[in-house]
Amino acid sequence: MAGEFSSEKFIEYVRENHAGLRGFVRSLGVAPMWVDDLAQEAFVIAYQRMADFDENRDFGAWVRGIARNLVINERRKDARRKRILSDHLTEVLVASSSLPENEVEEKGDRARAKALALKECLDKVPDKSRAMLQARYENEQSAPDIALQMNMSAAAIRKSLERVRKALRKCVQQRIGEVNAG
Amino acid sequence: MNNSKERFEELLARLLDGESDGDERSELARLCSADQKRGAEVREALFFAESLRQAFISGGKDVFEADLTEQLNVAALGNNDFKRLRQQVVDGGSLEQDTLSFDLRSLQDQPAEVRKLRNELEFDELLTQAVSTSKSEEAFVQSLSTRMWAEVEEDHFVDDLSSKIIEWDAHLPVADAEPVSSNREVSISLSDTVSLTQQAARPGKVWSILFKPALAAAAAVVLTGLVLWNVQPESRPASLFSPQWAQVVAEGGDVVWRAQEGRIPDSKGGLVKGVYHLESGTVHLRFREGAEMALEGPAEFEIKGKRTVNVLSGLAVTRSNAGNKRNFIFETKGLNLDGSGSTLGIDVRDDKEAELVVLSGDAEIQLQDSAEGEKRRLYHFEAVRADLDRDKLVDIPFNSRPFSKAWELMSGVAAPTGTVEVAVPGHQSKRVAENNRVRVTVERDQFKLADNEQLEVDTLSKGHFVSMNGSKNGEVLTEKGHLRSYLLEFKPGKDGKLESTLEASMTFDHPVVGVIFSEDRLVNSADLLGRSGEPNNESMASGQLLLSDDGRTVNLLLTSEGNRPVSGTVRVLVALN
Repeated sequence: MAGEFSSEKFIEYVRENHAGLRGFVRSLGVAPMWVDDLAQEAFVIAYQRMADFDENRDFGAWVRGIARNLVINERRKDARRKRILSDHLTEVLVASSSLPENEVEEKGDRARAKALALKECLDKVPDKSRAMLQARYENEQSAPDIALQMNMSAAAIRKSLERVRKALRKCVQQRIGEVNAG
Repeated sequence: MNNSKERFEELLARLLDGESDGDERSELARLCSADQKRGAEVREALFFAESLRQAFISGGKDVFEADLTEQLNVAALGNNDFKRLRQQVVDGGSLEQDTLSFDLRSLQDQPAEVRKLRNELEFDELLTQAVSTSKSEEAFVQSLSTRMWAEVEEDHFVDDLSSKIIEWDAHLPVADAEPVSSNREVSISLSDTVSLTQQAARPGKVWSILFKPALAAAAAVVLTGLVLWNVQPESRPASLFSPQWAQVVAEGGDVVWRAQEGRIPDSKGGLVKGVYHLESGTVHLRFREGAEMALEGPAEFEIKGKRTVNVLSGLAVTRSNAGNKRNFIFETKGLNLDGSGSTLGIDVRDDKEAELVVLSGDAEIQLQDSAEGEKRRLYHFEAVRADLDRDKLVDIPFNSRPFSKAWELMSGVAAPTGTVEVAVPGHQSKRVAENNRVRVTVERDQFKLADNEQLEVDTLSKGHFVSMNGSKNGEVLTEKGHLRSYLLEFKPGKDGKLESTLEASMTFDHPVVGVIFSEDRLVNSADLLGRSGEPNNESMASGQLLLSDDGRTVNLLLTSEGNRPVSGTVRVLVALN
């Protein structure tokens, strides 16, 4: 098994690609709570198959291909064991991701740069919005729960979250643009 | 114009009926190109005809209707539908088909919208990673390394290579000597938003990892060193860089770790190889290889490998679990302590000497630097002092009292109500008698019932109070694994009376598999378990006992009966594995 490849290289692969892979897995309709599990499974399989990997290829695309197959397999599982939100949705999303190697957006470096940029952008988010994000993503609270806590309506929370996300996306795009330009 | 319309309808009907020839189809095309509405009409008619065809092929009206609905929904999908769907998916709402106004499969005809949805999901995931500590890079890598460890360990190569995989660059920045409270979250920040190559080119700001050659296959372990972190000075998260050998499982008091020339546990309490300095408080560590250690700060220790820990200073209680294939070695100044199945107290508060007490079981100790390699086996309640100047072991009186605080965490029983005292083995506190409390002592720390040994316990029904007075039904304990027995003692107050009602509750780390409170069974079990003295239930007052539904918590309710004094004993047996 994987005895010939450089472990340092593998480390580099994981470091560069885990954020993007997790994003990719989620983008195929995997339930949020199972994203890491599935991404890890893909890395484990990749590790076990490293002997088959051509280092001239893009590792990110390769491991995304593995993840994609894992997601497809999810559709064949019985409902209790499925890690996806919906068969039909995943069917459509997987179909639209048929050529991961051609999707520049999903390249490892790109996703990692996005993740780093996002961290910086988050520093600029006002306290209230940050608290909202924290409640939603850290504490996994629903919009109605956050609404109760913040004395707002659930609809207002949803709208606010949507706006913050939109602002963050814009910020990330700008930052990546700046880095690329610089 | 009317003629044209009639002709169009005639040609369309022939087309739908499959009767039109080439000339007629050309003519129909010309009519459509002259009027775009006709083109749409043809498409709609064909679509409907195709739906009909498929319905009949599929053989049922229901199928046809479902199919038709699906097809019509394609046409009906609007921007609001997509927006709602995106929000629903991102917010984790239900995606059951009956909660949606359209068939999800119909999305495939809208590739741009699907792409947008995928982008939003991807971004949401990145946002989650950025905001949530449980989804952070650190957490992911830790979890992945553990998983790979578990999967690869079956191949044995990780086990063989683990001790020699990761070395730290000798020039790593050393953390400041500021204390780090475990109550404060360890903060880790990634470096600036620059490309990875840019990051790597800034050696002064990042950690680096060195690997010995010929370790290429051990990626599972090396994974723990995945990330180039830019670590804030006082926090040096250990678990990212080498295998996690131990875990903080409980804390007491104000726990503060000092990151001086050493490590601190990671944000989840994981510990890897290295030196740790506990400034204050008490902590209970559990090692992956089946050992435990509780320390009272200030204390310093070094995790040297998966089965070796060196207590450098302070007070520690150690437990090596019985039944491990390989022994766990505790070292302390100049001593090696090998005691499978034993519980030891180690006192190295003095630079020149180390004291050792055996709280349970027996252990072999060896002076590391003694020319003769002096070895000695110590038994239950024995104590020695290692005089490091003279390389000599000296017998000393047994005194377990200094280990009381560390023992509270190691005892495996938590008693938050305040009416329970967890007593360190070998130390008879007077507080029980003075304060009307229940004292809990570990009688036998780790043992197994031999084939010829039988232990009869009182019959209990989980979740229901049982009276402890009078004769009770019993049953033979069938547990074959390792057990621990606790003795619960309650005695009268100063005047020999229980003021009113004494309630005591204690929760055990391990499941309770048997309780003994009837007098005959207490007496019968004394030889096997009774290391803490003979039980005395002669004057058991009115008492009730409840074992919780989860089998972990024992509640005692003792009430006075006139002037009758309350005293008694209960044995609790828990299964360790």
